[in-house]
Amino acid sequence: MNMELIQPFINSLDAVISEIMRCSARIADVTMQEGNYQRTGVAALVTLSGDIQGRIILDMDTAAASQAASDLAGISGEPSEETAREIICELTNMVIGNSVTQLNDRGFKFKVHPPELFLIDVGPRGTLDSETVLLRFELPKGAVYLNIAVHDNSHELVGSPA
Amino acid sequence: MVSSVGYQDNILSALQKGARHFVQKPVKPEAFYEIIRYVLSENAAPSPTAAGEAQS
Repeated sequence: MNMELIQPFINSLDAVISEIMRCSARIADVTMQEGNYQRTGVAALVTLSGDIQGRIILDMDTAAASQAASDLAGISGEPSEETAREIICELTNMVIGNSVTQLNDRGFKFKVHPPELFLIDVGPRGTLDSETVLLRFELPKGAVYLNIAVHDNSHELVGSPA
Repeated sequence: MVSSVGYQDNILSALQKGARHFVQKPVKPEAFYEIIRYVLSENAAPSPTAAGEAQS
């Protein structure tokens, strides 16, 4: 696994959670995943294409989504399904946006597609040429999962026809 | 302009296209309030430097 590509996503998740939810996200578990992704709570997926190719899934369990709804929108108790979906898309947008900023500053150029709600229970595998890493972050209330399947495509693009 | 993507090319492009300021999300409410006040003031003008400060 290329940590140069993974680390910005970890840093960004930590920074966004810290800023929005005023708490720290502790990495509780890191696993390499070979099978399909099994959704835990409310999740959103972002696709990248260009120098970096692949997809990232951000997934929050109910407790974390409730806390995020409270911190982001002042909602107490368990948020409605619609609110939880809006929140996961906004958090994903911020985490990926901050990661993209860091990666772009390191010279990677790529396109980021808008977050899509990840509604099916069992999602896609990583692409054939990507290793998939699943990180579980523990929050004071609940957990957030970051599923990353990306690879450095810049060398392939250099040799490809225009 | 408010965006989660705050790399330099993005900021410059926004300012060149008429944005008067650039703020990267997540936004700190206190800083955002000051930026809105600044942008709404008559003397506000696009400022890449100020945009960079807003990211920190």
